[in-house]
Amino acid sequence: MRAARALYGFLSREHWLIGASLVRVSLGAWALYFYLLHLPVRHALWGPSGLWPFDRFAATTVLPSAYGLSPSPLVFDAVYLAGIIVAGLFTLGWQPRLMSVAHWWLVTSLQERNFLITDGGDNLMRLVLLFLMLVNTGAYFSVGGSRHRMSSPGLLRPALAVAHNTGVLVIVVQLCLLYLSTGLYKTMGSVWQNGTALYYILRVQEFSQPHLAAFVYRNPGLVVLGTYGTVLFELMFPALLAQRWTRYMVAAAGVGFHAAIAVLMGLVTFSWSMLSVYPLLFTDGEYLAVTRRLRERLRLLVLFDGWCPFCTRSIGLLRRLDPFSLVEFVSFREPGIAEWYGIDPRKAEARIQSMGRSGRPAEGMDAMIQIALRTAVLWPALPLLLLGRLLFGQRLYDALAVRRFVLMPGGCVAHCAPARPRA
Amino acid sequence: MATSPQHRDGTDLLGVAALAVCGTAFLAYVANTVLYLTPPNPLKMQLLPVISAIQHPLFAQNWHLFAPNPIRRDFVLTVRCRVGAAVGPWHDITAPLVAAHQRTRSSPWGRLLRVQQNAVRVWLGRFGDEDWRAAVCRVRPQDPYCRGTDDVARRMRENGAHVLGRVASVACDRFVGRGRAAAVQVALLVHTPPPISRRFSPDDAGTTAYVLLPWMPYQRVGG
Repeated sequence: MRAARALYGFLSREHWLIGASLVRVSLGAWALYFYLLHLPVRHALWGPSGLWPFDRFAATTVLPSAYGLSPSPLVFDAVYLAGIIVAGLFTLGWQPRLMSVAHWWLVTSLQERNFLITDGGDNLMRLVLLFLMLVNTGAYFSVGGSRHRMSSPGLLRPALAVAHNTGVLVIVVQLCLLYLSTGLYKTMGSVWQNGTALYYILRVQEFSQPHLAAFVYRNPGLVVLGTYGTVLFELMFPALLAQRWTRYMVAAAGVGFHAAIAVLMGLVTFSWSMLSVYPLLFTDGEYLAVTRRLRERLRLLVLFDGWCPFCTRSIGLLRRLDPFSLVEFVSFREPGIAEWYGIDPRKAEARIQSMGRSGRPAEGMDAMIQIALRTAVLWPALPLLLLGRLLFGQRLYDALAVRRFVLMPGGCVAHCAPARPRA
Repeated sequence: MATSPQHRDGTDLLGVAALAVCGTAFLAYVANTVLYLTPPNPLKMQLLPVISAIQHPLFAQNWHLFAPNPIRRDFVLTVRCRVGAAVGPWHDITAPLVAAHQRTRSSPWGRLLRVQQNAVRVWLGRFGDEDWRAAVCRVRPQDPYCRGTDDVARRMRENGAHVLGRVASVACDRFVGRGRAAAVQVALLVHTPPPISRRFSPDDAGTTAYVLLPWMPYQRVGG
């Protein structure tokens, strides 16, 4: 009785919320990428008069497909466009439960439309999307994430939590069954038994990559290791999930395994959909612990000029671009701040100052680079910043900083005029 | 916010009911999927209609993934087109797709190549459940299912040939101009790479067999 109560207590609260949200983002991005990648060849692959024509599709399909609504090319394009929009909304986490259903139906419809081009990754995605309908995938990284964490009506909350947890568990079990099944079948194959399967796979042009694959298949050691390693990994995957450290190990091995499949065999979307399920192998507590540790390591304190309207506006924008709040912005004009952090106010007036975990200060362009490093949206600007620093040192920054407008509130007690930077 | 005992009771009742429903469905699904995914065995044979009815079409899945034995042959499609009475030369339509797919690891060419390759597999009758076929062949070698002469296999072959005809028609649009070909013909080259003992041999080493498909009427694809 106590065990049953404990089980109910555990299952009636939502777990694996971060992992579920990551699965949503990954599978949504996968679909968006897939739709856009095949946009130029969509009519050949799935169109009404494509390689698998509408009449044959209509005669053989077993699930109601959105692409079966009409043989008109216009309707086909409209459904394809709807697929892109829904995939985008699903990725963003807008109305996650509703989008889950719509996204599953549209992805399944596309897969049903041409049975000749699907693979194991597509099969897994279709199943996972089906089970995700039970799961709260909108708690994190979504439009209104915090709302989705709190919004279940009180009466329904435990029931929805049970459904959510069941959905997550069935997806993880499905992944285990996948690996077990394929591992079991591989043990029955002669080339998997004699350690040469990888050689024969990599010699098939469809699954080969001229230079890398040749390096592997000409090396008997790598061939045997890859062949037996694959079977061992697949058979042991479920058992190794039971313990925390072996779970980390098997997840890392899985990432390497699928990355190799993507690069060597060219099965990129297959590997992507397999790895999309991996975030569910970790608990919310594990994600939060890693995030905490990372934030401690990456945290940056930036001292800026709070009397400069342009600087204040820029800092406001930077704050919005930093969703993980890795950078803490403080105006050195606030009383006691410069003294507290041991910063020379004259230096802070001349150039923006930053301090990382090590306590070593950086200023001007270097501080800007430190901020950009911690703000993913600014990563594309990093090469420019680095090049500017390399070519002009701090001169570019100083030229802008010295011309900034400073608005002194009330009476000026100290550090009023922007200091000229030292040459 | 305080919760009344009645409210909590109602909430728990719903939660327990959800647990009972979800738990039962979970156990039933996992048990059925385990049976569905196992290789042919006496228990699976006995329960197959029930297992398949639960699993198809919503939960259909196949995780053979290069097992029990991986694909070991390249299928190369060569096509020629007939315009009026004139018959054109043979064109390799697989090599350019393979080259494009190998050049860019993620490109639309990968799935276009897969249409060709899987159409050949369907035409050869190698796209169904090969485990059951092997199991049947062990005990009833004369069975139409084992010999690939049953209705399903025949339909699949016809579908495979139809898609190959369309693939060839698209190619002929490119070679002789859109809609100009009257008929298309496909020659399938089946290339088996050299064995591992000759692993340093180039790709074109190994053995090649070919199958000539009959002329097929041109089909307008796309647009």
